[in-house]
Amino acid sequence: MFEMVLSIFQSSVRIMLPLLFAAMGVMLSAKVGFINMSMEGGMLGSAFVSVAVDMFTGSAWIGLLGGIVFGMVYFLLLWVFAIHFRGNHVVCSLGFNFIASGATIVLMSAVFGATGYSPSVEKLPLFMLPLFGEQSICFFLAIVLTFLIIWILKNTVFGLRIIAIGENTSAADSLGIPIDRYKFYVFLAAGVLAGFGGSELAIGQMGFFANNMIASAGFLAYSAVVFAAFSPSLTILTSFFLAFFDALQMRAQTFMSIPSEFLLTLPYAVTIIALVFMKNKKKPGMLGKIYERDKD
Amino acid sequence: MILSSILRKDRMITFSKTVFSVFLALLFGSLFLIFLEASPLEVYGVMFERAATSFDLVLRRAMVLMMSGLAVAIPMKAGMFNMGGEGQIVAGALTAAVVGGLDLPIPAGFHTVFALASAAIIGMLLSGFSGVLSIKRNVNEVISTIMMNSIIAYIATYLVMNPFRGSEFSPQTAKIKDGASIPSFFGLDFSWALVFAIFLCISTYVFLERTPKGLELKAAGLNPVFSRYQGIKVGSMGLLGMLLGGAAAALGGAFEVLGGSHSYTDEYFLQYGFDGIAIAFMAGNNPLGIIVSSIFMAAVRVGSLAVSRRTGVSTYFVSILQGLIIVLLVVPYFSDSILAVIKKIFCRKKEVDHV
Amino acid sequence: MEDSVVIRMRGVSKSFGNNKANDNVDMEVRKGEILAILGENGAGKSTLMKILFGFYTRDEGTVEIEGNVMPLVYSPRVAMEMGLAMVHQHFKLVETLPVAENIVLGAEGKVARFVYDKRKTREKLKSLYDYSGIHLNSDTLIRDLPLGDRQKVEILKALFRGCRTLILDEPTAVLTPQETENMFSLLRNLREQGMTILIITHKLSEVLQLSDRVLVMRAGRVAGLFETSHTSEAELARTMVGYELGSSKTIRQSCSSLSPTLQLENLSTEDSAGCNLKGLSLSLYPGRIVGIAGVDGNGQRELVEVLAGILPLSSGTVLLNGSLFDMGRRKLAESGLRIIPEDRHRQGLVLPLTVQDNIMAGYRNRIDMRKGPFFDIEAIHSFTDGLIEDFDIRPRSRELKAQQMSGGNQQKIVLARELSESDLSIIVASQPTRGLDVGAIEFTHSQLLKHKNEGRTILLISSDLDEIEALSDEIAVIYDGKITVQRNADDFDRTTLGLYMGGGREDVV
Repeated sequence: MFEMVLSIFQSSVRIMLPLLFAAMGVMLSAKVGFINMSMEGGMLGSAFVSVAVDMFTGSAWIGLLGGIVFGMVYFLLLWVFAIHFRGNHVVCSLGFNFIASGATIVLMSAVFGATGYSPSVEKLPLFMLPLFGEQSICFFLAIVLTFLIIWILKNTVFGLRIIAIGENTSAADSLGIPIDRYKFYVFLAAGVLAGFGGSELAIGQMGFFANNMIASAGFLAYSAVVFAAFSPSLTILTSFFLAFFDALQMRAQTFMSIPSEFLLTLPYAVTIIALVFMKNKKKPGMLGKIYERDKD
Repeated sequence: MILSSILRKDRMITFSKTVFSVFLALLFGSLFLIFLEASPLEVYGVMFERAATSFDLVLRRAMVLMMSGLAVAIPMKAGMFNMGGEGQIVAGALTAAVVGGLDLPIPAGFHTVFALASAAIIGMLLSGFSGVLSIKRNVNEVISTIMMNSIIAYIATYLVMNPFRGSEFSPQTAKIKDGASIPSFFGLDFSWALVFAIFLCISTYVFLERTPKGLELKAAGLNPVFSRYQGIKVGSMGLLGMLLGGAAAALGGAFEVLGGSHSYTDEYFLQYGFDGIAIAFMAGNNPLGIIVSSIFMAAVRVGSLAVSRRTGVSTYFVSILQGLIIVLLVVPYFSDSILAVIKKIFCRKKEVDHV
Repeated sequence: MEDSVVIRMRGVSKSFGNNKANDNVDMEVRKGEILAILGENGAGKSTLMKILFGFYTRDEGTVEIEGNVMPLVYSPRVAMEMGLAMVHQHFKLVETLPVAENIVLGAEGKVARFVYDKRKTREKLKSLYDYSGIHLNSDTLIRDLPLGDRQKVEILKALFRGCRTLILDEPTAVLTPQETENMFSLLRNLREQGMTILIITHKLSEVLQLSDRVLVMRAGRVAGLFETSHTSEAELARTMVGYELGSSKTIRQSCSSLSPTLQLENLSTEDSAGCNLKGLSLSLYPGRIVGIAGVDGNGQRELVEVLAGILPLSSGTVLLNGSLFDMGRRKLAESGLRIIPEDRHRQGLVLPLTVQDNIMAGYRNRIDMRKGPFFDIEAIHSFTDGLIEDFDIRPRSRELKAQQMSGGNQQKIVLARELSESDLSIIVASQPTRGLDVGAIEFTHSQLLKHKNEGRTILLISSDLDEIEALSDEIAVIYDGKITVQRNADDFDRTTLGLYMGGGREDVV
């Protein structure tokens, strides 16, 4: 019994890692007022790039670097359309997701000479940890990054301004804070996080790239942030919560007689249920609003 | 009359901007193809050649896509984002396949109608669910509909593999009864359902432009403050939009099953729902425009099958084009700036020529 | 001790399209004084200060701050470097952050480089609190602060940045009398410490209690400059609102013995972010126009929203033709009350829809406009064309989108829709001629008079006194969510009106 619980816990942590990276990206974006539904595409692209770079250079670390660079470029372009050109956040996010998902499938054969699955590549170093089981090095990176982000939000001038921009952009603007530039920094950070998230899954855990391997983790991450009421520390809990349900359904398939398909719906159903029962949907005041300085 | 020319000029401008955005998307797409060491001319050429020669197949696809476009456009008119077309189409298709496969002691035509009606009701329940959650509990309907897509997909797989399994070797339902099917259009690849689909697009247009409820729906989506002053129930209109959208998507799936494949196969309807987003955007949410943009998208889809076979470029290239199209359509400033740059280049050229 | 001049503006003019907001304004501000800038809506006082602060660019004229000649275009940042600070009417505070963070936001350099130490900030702010005499809890979140304290935070923001000249825009607009007193002592305190203060206001009592000098603006021009100790409320009121112009256009009805169409008794609201109604009472009679005069932001918007059924009442009763009307369940609009809203773009029209659609939004359920479940196109076309003709909407097209029409024609669309209802009995017109040209204003006024002569009940809310005087049989003044006086129009003169609009009460005036 204990072994099973432990094994579920360890799976949850593994599943949680990409989800947590994504959720941090969504949370930061939200803090600055941007509805980020594009972590999905960013992670998918990073996964692809990290595996490709790993394959061509033979080094998983350079692959990770590649994945991160891709994430930053992806979000830089998204910034151009959603922020600089004042595009609708949801449409731009979803549009970029389509492009990423299409591009990774199309490039699959050109880059990997295969369809559906890429060949296996060298993974990032793995560690055998007490309690947490087998985890990739990104486990530690996730902990470090998460706490770094929380620290920055609470204890730096940068963090303070980010929060102000997302709550009342006009107030921040009237104080001379360069809005678009700060949003740019946040987008880059989201890109780095997407890079980590996608690479972690591809070359940290799986060791290869498969079409649509992100499987809606980007959207689940968005929900995790919503039920955490956009609080950075609660986001860790909600990400774990969702990952747990995913791990649970995988285990449950082996011993429960409920058909596997129903169990697979568990994370998504839980998401909807949790969103319904959340009473106070607190969110940053300017979330989703396209800010244009009212200059009469 | 100056007036009608102003109105026409207006429509011309919107239309040209859309065409320009689509053109830009194709352009960026070709950059991508070049990166792949494929020839854009060859790819686009094959695409449209295939579409032209298999135009009846194109129309069959367009039939479903039209409904998928309505599934996005109608809720958007009411101010809601329905991203659940994928799931709603699957649900509608499966329902039609199951109801169509039942041994019912009713005359032929009625069986078809019954199957269609069941599909529409299921679609409405699904989209309505997300609609209610959005209005009453403030649950973002983009998220809830996307979640529902996954849930419906899994449940549909289960249902096809188990209770409703119709074939030993493939994941599909039993063939529908003859009495439930929609006859093919003079032996061509598409069925009379296409006519019905076009009729529904026209009806939607009439509803929006020529009925009181349609006017209320449009007003609620465009200006909720104004609508409250006029006694229009903004929430109800949003829900109505979602219900109609879900019904449309489900009917799309049902048309294909009852008129084309005559059974439901798992994973058959992938991407149809997402196509609807691009289709609705290209048409500016105008139901009549959707007829045109869905044929365009169907041509691209059918063409991409040939492209995949002949050049090896995956059919998912279409997703890239779609993503580009919808992004370009929501950032008008972008196309405007590019046009401005082009104008500057050409104007400068003229000056140089003069000198 | 010479009175050195801190700010000098000469010949400053600014126009927004056809509207000349500032017309050749000359003014000087002396160091260490409290100068009040008095005027009604549209007088140009806010515009002038925004030009000074760098938000707007002046068309002509010179601006000197502390002896430095300012370029034509400069940003608020530059103004702040010159020692200016502005406290806006709508606070620019981040509600979810505490007081201390709001004070230092944007100028954190004084307490932090990269790492932000909350404790260090609070330490440094202690001396600011002592200096200013304002003691607030650094940790309270803005959303938990009463409006008076929020204003103090705005002032602390300015002081933190070392401002030497403080500009306050309608500082007591949202304060209780007690908070106002506190604000006054605070400002006097700051003056003692050498701060120069400019107050934009429409409240006469404030001017008299607080200022050293007062600059009165009217219609974009300087109407008068007074030493506060040498002037009176009456003189200021008269200067602020100007002398009566021309003859009135309405044939005034004397108080008749007809029963009231609409009685509002003690209406109060709680949910507005602006000025809630605080026991507003008003009676409206058939065939009469009641004009509500008052400076924007004293409850006019809330009153209209209550009548529209959009803002719920927390207490009070409404009687329609003598019987109790359940505002929670029913809408006055269904009983013959139509509203011409203040903001025609946001409340009165759906800009992307056609003229026809905008009109039909109000008539969509009429049986004679329908053929079964559909609209009867013929009937609608002729109905709409008829209205376009009657209301002289140009160009004569029902297919043009509302956003393609001029402001005056847009208002005509609103009028056409609202005033053509067959069961029309009460008209609420809120700022109906704002932003319109003379022709459109004439037209609107004639429409209102026509309906008055046909026996309908009209409530006119306007910040334009000329309009109020020209049209009203009775005038009421709204101040701070209440009607402070309601009398026959003949019983008012401009001075008295000015006094009431400035906050005077019946027993005191």
